[in-house]
Formats: sequence, C-alpha cells, structure tokens
Amino acid sequence: MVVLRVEDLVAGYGNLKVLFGANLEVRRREIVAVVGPNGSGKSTLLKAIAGLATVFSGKILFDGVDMTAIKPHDRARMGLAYLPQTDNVFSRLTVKENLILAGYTVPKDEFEERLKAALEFLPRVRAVLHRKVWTLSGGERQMVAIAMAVIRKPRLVMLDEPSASLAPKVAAQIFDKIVELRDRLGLGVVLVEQNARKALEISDKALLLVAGRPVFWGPSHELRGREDLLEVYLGVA
Amino acid sequence: MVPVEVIIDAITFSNLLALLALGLTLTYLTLKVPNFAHGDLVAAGVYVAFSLHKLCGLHPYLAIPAAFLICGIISLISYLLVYRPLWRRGASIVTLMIASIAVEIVLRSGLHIYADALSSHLKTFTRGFSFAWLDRSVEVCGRTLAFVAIASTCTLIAVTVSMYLFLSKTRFGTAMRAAIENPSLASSLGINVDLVYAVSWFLAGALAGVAGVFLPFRMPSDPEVGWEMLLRTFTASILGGLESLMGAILGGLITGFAEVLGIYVLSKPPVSLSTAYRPAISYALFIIVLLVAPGGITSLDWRRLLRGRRK
Amino acid sequence: MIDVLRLLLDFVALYSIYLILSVSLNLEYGYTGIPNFGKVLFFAGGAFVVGAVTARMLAPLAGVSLADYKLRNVVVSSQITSFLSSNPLLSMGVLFLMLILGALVGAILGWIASYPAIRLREDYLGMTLVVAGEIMRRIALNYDPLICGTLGVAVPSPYSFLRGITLDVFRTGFMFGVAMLVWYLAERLAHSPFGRLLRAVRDNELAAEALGKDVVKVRATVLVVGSGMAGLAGALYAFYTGVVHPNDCVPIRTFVVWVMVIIGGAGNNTGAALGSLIYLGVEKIIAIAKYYVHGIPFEINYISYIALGIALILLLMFKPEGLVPERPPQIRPRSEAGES
Repeated sequence: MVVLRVEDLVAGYGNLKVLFGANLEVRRREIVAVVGPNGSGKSTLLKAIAGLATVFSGKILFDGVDMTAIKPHDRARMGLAYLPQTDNVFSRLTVKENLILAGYTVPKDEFEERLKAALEFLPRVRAVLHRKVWTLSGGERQMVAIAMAVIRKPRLVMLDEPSASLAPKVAAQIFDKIVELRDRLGLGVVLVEQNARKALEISDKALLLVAGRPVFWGPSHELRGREDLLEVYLGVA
Repeated sequence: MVPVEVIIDAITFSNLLALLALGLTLTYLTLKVPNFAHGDLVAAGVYVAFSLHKLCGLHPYLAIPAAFLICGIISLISYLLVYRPLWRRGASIVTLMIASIAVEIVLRSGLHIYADALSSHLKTFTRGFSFAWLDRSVEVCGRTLAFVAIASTCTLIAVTVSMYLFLSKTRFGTAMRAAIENPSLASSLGINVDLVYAVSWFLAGALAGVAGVFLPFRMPSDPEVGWEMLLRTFTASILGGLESLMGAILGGLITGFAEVLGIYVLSKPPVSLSTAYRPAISYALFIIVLLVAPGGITSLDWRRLLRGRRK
Repeated sequence: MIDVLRLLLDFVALYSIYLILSVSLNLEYGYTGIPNFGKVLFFAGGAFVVGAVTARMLAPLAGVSLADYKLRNVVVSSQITSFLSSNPLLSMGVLFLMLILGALVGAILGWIASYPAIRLREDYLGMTLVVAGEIMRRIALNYDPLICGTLGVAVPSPYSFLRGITLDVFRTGFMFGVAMLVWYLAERLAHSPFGRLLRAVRDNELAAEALGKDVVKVRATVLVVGSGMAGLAGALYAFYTGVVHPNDCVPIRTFVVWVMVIIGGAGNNTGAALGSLIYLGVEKIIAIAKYYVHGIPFEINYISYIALGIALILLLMFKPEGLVPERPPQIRPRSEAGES
C-alpha cells in the first residue's frame, strides 16, 4: 500500500530552484527518513508535498492521485498531515483550542471520540490540556503538534526536524512517539532529521539529499553501512 | 456644556470611523498591507444610498443592505483581481501598497465619472449633497437627537456583537482566527485560507459601505470624501493597534470623539482655531500615536502602566 | 508653427520637473529601498518657499507696497515682474537664490522626515508620509501668511527680461539644463562607492550593518538629498507656472511620480527618465484627444486617471521591474582587477 510516491521532483520558491529530482516512496506502517546536510532541500521536499512550495516539474502522487493541482488545505483533507519545523501550533491558544482547530475537518459526531483517542495516545498532552501553548516546553509543544495530526486520522504524517532544539531525553520521547505512529497507528511517516543516526535507527527507508540532489535512496540499514556517505555528508562516525 | 449637535456629530462620526477601522484592520490582518483604497469604499456606499434615493425614492436607511452588498462585492473584486494575484506572485508590502493606491485612483475616478454621468442624467447636483433633511428626530431625555446617531450606534453595536459571536462561536469564524494567526498552519489543518481572506475583504468593504450610508447625514458628500476619511481611518486603526479588531472599534470611537470634540474646544477662544483644521486633529493624533505607542492601545501593558513603572 | 514650438517647450519644461522628481524617488526607493510616499511634501516645501518669499523679498527693492498682500498678491507680483524685466542680473540672481533656498527647504524637510523614515516599518512609513503631506497642505490652505491660503499666491517671473518665444526657449532650456545636471549628479552618485553602499543597504541591511556601515546615516543622507532635489523641482515649478496653490500639492502628485519610476524601472536613472517621458507623453495625448472628442458627460481627465491606475496594476503584475530593469553589478574577473 503505497501512500505517497514522489517522482523526479524539482521544487523551490518563486523562481529559485532548490530541489533537483527527488524520488521517494512511503508505504503504510513505514517510516522514511530524509537526511542530509543543511540547505540540502529536505524542508523544501516536505513543503512541496504539502503544497507550500513551488513545483517546477515532477509528480507527487498521494494514494495514486496526482496532487499537483490540489490546494494545500485540500491535500490536508485527503489525509496528509504536515508538521513544519517552526510555528506548528497556535501559541496564543490553549492546547484544547488547538486540538479543536485541528479537528476542523473531522465530522462533529466523531470529534469527541477522536479527541479521547488522541489524548490516550499522548498522555502528556492530556496533562496540559487547558494551558496556553506558549507556556509549554519544547517537548510538550511537539507532543501537541503530533496530537493535532493524530486527531485527523491521517494516512501520512510528515515531520520536519521534530527533535530540533530539544534536550536529548525529550527528543528520545518524541522519537518513541514517532515509532508508535507507525507501529500502533499504522501510519506512513516521512521524517526529516538533522540527527541522522537516530533517524536511520528508527526508519525503514532513507533518502539522503545533498545540495538538492538525491545521493542515496534505499533501506536505512544499507545507508547505515555506507561509511563513506555517512562520514562525508552527515558527519556521523 | 457641549451642545447636543456636537455630541450627535461626535457619536455619528466615531461610529463611522469604528466601522471603517474595523474593515481596514481586517484586511490588514490578511495581507499585512494598509489598504489605501478603503476610504473610497465609503464613498461608494454614499453613492449607492444616494442613487437609490434619487432613482427609486428609497430612504437611505433602507439602502443599507444594498450598500453592504455592493461595496462588499467591489472590495472582493479588488482582492480577487489585484491583491491576490500580486500576493501569489510574492509581491512585497510596498508593491501591494502601490497597488492599493492604484486601485484607489481607479475607484475614486470611477466615482467621479459616475457622479457626473448621474448628474447629467438626473439634471441635479450629485456633489456636495447631504441627507440631513431626510433624517428623523427623536426625543431622548428631553433633548432632540437626530436619528442617525441612534441608527449608527445600533448598527455598530450589532456589528460588534455579531463579529464577536461569529469569530468565537462559529466554526468558520474560528477558522478565520486561525488563518489570520498562522495561515500555513491553518491550511495544513484543512482550513481554506483563501476563502477566509476573500470573506474578510468582502466584509471590510461591506462595513465601509454601511458607513457610507450614514456619512451624508452629517457631512456634505462628494467622491473625494473617501480620501478624506482614509487618513482618519489609518489613525483609528493604528490607535487601536493595527492587529486587533476590537482595538479598531475602540480606536475609531476615540479618534472620532477626539476630532469632533477637539475642534469644538479649539475653535473657541483663546485658541480660536479655524474649523478647517478639523482633519488635522486626526493627523496630529496619528503622529502622536506613532511616537508614543506605535502598537496602539491594545499593545500597552495596562497593568504595568497603572502600577507605575517601578516594577 | 510657433504654437507647435510652444507646445514642445511646455512639454519639455514639465518633463524637466518630473525628471528631477523621478530621479529623486529612484534614488530613495530604487537604490536605497526607502518607500517615499510623501514626495509631494518635499516638492511643496520648495514651491511654497518660493511663493512665500520671492515677492515679499523683492517688494521693498521694487518699491512695491505689500499692504493687503493676500488680496493684492497678483497685482504685487506683476509689478515686481515688470521691475525685474529691466534687471536681468537681479532676475537671474533671484532665480538662483530661490532655487537654492527651495532645495534647502526640501532638504531640511527631508532631514526631519528621516527620523520616522528610519524607525518605521514600510507600511507605517507609507501612511506617515502621506499624512505629513496632507498636514502641510492643510496648513498652507488655512494659514494665510504662508501662501495666501485658499487663494494661492502669484510668483514674479525672473525670466521677464526676455520676451515672446525667446522667453519660452530660455526658460525651458534653463529648466532642462537643471534637470540634466541633477540627472548627471544622480548617475555619478549611483556609480560611485556610495551608490554601491545604497544598494547594499537596500538588499541586505543586516549584512551592511555587520560590515560596519551606518545604515541609519545612509538612509538619512539619501532622504535629505532626494528631498533637496524634490524641493528644487518645486521651486522650478513655482517659477514656471507663476502660481503656487496648496491644492497643487495633492497626494496624487506623489503617486504620479511613483508610476513614472515603476514604468521606467526602479533602480536606474535611465528608467526614471524613460518613465517620466512615457507618462507625460501619454497624458499629453489624452489631453489633445480631449479637444477632438465631444458629447461625453464627464471629464476626460478621470478616464486618464483610471487608465493610469489600471496600467500601474498591470505593470506591477506582469513587469514589476519596469521597462529598463536594473542591471546587476558587473563583477570583473581577477585578472582585470590587477591582482598578482
């Protein structure tokens, strides 16, 4: 069950091209890691899939449907959940209000149930339900963002550097949750990460981007064995 | 004691400004550009009411729905044809401002042409007219009030309450608040941000149109009245804090009262300022706000101020 | 034949004024990125000072009484003009003096405006400058001692020592000469290290500051220079039309200059020159067309304004860089730079 397929994607912003020919495939119950040095186009890839960047050529197929002409909010309704690196929650609102907003596309009668399920999946969020998001710690915020995705019952979740600026212990908790997204909820996950080691550990497949071009695409354990690539591009010993 | 007429003027004028500032802030929240064409939407409302009165004998108050609709549509069209395409091409704030000035020129000239054409068709004056003679008087607490003060106040209250309910209680209203706060996040949650923006622009124009119906009751009107109201609207919006809707309403009320009461006081001895300086009060207020509290009154930390800065 | 020549001279004279204004706006916005929405304010500064000072200054010299100045200003002005007609040296002296004064007043206003211009974000700045211009206009309308309020004031002509077509030729030639001088100065500025500094400030303020450049001072300097140019244009204009009226200095003047700069292409002086030419040319054609079209129940001017607005919008959408796009700076290869 291929949820997402990206073919030869050339993308960027306005007139500027950043990504040159990316290919990847995500199935259900699968985590695909996108790694690479800074500025290699990882975020652009996610943004293009979400509909927030310019696509110059190539195809983005979601459940077999070509998404090029589909607007971002309609892509979200199709089952795509995108968590950007920054501003992925409404800081000035409470956690509950954020979740209500996240439930915008959920049918009224189903919402309470989904909310319960999401809070069950993320007990940390239940604990801070009535606090304003700007008072939360970085880790708690990420949990809220993940809850906002889960509540929509997406088929694919895309996370852009979720562990950035988080303490290692907290980051580990986030990574555990991401694994649960695959194992407990059966979702497809695209994970962009600077922490390449951890990302390769938990993912099934990996895409290595360097300066906008794909240098490796295949099973993660294979990339972990490629000392040459790891050291040169990712600085991972 | 300030004469009743002046109070009526102050109430009506500040209600007008509140409606205008609300619209201006609303469109600013979407594209982050101050819409220089906003004033002319008021003028358009004036002429909708005037035309319906002259052509169909409709009393101006009854023209409110028409003004609401027509001016809303004009504003929406300007969004769809000009601002949205430019926005999508990544235009800068300056470019959008220049575009809004271009729209302003087109609207104002269009109104001039309309006024002239109407004049030759009706064989009557279409500039410098007033609705004051059409107004009713109402007895309140032993004083005679012009009905327009009451009508405009009721309208403002109705608008404020419905906006509040709409934004906080309805699904679409909540989506609007989310889209304004964080458009890309909102759209990744399935909210149609473009629709939100389009509705905002429609509403802004519609509110300006309604204000335009009330305007000729207290001020002689012609196509240039839009530009005259524009700069005062800037003052009102900035006073309220350019990012706050409730602030806009407050800013409009304060600016309106400041201007009308201010010129009344200043036109008496010992200052004896000419009443022609009336708009200058709003301009001066504009400069003062920028110097003292550029974020407007809603940005001030009132608790800290009231405690005195010793914290 | 003389009429055609007059038409041409008129056109060139007006073009000179707008050339100076466009060049000044290009300097501020095209090169330095300051959106000056209040250009008319500085223009008015120069024009108003000429209107307010010239006649009053010359009256005692000409032995003309200044009593009842507001009502009699036209008479006073023509009396001074006939006095000047027999005094070419004095006339030219007054002209130069007033032009310098106009530029100075413009520059001072620019200096005052630089305080908000530096501190405010573009949207606030845009609104502020427009408001400032309107405040100025309102004061001029109501404070009679300035330029006779709603009547406007007549300006004595320093060109009156000439007659007939010679006067027109000389006047236009002089104005065009001044405009060319300003254009030349702007070009020199643009191609100098200072010009590169301006573009650096425009394109990447943070980087420029990190390199130790005083961004605030640069912006202030540019605004002062640009406003001085605008004041100069205003003074020239006052002497050309012979009348200064507050309602000549309405916001639409500023926006006309913006259209010129955008049509021609911001970021280079050739663009400014071209943009002014095209705009004035089109306006002239519409004015001429006005004579030949009858039976329309409204003023043709409004049509030209609508055309202006639509043209501006289309330009912004499809060709925002204008007709003469800014050329990227030439980076010469190492060998040419003479490095070892």
